[in-house]
Amino acid sequence: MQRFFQVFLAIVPLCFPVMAQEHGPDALPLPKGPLILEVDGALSRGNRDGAAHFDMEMLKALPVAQLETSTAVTDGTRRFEGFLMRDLLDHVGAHGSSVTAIALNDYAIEIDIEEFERFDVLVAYEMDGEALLPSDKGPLWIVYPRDRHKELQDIRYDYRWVWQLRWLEIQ
Amino acid sequence: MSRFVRALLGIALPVLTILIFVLLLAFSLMRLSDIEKDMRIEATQNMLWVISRAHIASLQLSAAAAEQAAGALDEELMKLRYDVFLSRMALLDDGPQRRRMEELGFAHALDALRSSLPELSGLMTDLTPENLPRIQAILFPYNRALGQAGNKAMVAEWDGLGNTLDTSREQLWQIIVSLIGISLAGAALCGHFLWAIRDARRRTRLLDKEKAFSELLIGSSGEGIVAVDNQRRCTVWNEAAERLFDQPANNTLGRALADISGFFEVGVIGKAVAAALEGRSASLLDQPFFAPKRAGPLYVDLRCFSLRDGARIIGAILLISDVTERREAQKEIADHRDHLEQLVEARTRELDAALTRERATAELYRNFGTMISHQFRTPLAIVDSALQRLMRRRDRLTPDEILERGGNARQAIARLTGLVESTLDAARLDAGQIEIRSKPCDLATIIADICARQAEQTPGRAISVDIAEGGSTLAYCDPIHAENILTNLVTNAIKYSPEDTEVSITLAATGDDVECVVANKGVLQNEEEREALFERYFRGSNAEGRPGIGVGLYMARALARLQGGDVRLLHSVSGTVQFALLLPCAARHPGALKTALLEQEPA
Repeated sequence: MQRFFQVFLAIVPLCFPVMAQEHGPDALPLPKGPLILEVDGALSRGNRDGAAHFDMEMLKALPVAQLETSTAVTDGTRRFEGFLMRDLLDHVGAHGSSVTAIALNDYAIEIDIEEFERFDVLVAYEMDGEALLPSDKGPLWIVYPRDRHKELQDIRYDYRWVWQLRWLEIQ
Repeated sequence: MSRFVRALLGIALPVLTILIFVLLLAFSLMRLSDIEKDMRIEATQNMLWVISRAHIASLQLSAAAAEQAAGALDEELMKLRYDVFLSRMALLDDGPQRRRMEELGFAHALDALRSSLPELSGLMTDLTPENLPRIQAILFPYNRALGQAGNKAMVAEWDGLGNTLDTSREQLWQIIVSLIGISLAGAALCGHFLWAIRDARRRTRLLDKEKAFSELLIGSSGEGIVAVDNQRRCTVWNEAAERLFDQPANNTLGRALADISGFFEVGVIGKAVAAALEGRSASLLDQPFFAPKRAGPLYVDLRCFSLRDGARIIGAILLISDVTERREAQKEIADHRDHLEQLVEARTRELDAALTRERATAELYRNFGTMISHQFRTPLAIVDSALQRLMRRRDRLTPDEILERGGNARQAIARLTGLVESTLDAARLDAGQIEIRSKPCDLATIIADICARQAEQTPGRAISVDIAEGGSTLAYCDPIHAENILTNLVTNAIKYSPEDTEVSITLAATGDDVECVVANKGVLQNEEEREALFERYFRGSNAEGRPGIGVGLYMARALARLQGGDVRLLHSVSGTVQFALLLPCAARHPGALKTALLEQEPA
């Protein structure tokens, strides 16, 4: 019995940091619905193996932001609804300098975090009041306020509009 | 002509150059703007990548379907492949991508695929090896079309890029040519400006030279030249002004005139300057100016003129010339003229006197002629008539009658001789041949002799003699001349007074003189005769019918004056005429008196 207790005492300190991280008062809740987005890398607030996993309900719980802009691949002005990338990064306690956004088809683009402070970059889950679908550009689409800033109307920004966003890696 | 060319070079050419410059610049900017626009690449232009991603997604879907049919693939990955496939197809079928596909001529493949999508979805949900050929059949034309579309898109993009580059190159060439034009225009402008600067410098040098010359003129002018502005502050002060006012220019420039010299504060000078500042020229001549370090005043001429800039008066210029020497010369000339005038006046007076004398002489001779004709003819007529009677009545005359007649004739001849004597005496007097032998003699004695003689000639006339008591009647004179004078006076008194009246003679000593006054009853016709009585050959208005030649009183006065005395007509009571003979008292000549006493003693 005493020997077991000693072993327990020895194990607890080893397990505690893991448990504190996963289930501390500051930890993210676990996703209940289908997994929509995974944030990994240099973050301080995750919910599974140091990563932050989100279902749509969790994403919609973030402060809602809206943006009207034209896009490079569609006609006319579109109204997007979603959350700001910087709100998400704050939410997960990101402390890196850049983010690599990866799409369902493995399309990967590295973006400076500083850019999300300069521009109100949106992660949209709705366009013109309709949910974005994985069979189109959903479920998430990175949208830049293209019409608001002249410098964003450039091919070098156009390739950062990652659609079918699935993973974010913070470096 | 040269002026026209100059105007063309000076204005038209630079304006034209600037115009060209601006046009070329605008053209270049426009071209650059075009290039800037062309350089923008839209995502749709990256069609090749979009097509290739769609192609890959389609091929991956095919492969995934085959693996799924073999049961080697999980469903989630299958769904992912299908979603990606659908997504790429939707992208191709949307907006700009769709139009691009239509341009490339592959829209039909998209349309065909879209019409087959419900069937494909059905097949995907129920994947069996039997369905696999059908899926392949649906995807095959799509894949082939995408492969061809990729080729075409590449060609179109490269053609487009090539065309864009060509256009850009052409535009760049245009810009280069424009820039060369701009450079040339700029060079022309620079050249023009250099020319203009050189011209301006040349003009400045010319102006400087003219200014220096003007300053030299002003500086070397003998006249003081002073310029003032509207506030009467000095702006020009030349060397002559420096000398005149003894003030160097650096002391005066910028200072008010009134502070420089009191001369400018004098009323008329101040007014002249004020007039010039109001636009009226003013000129003041011979103004006295008390120069410093100089005893007497200088005299200056001052002329004031307005200084104008167009119609505006900006000040006044004062020309001050020293005319002291001129004024002195003029004064000398004036003095000389005055002196000449005095000379002429004196000479005129002399000539007038000479003329008067000549006229008097002419008058004298006329009087002499008249007198001669009357006075000489009368005794001759008496003698002639006496002789005629003697001849006519030669045998009836008694010796007494002959004696009487002869006596009358002789008397007349004696009077004539007397007249001749008198005339000769007067002539002798004029010639200065009268001899005066003055000595002390008693006038009382002489008067007594004359009275006695006169009593013989005119026994009917009473003569009273009154000799004053207590005074000496001893005069210093020539007794012969004194007797002649007194005789003349007494004879006149008898002659010009009524027969029944008395002639009185008074003798008295009056200070230095012995005075003998001969008075008779009678009147002077007028006062004008008073002095004329003493002129030669003058005969009073009452002398008519009485013998005489008018030399008596003249001779009397002349003789008296020769002896240091005089004969005067006294202002006396009316009805009496009084002539006075004044002779110096013998007591004034003590030596003479002594001689006289010695001479008298033996007598």
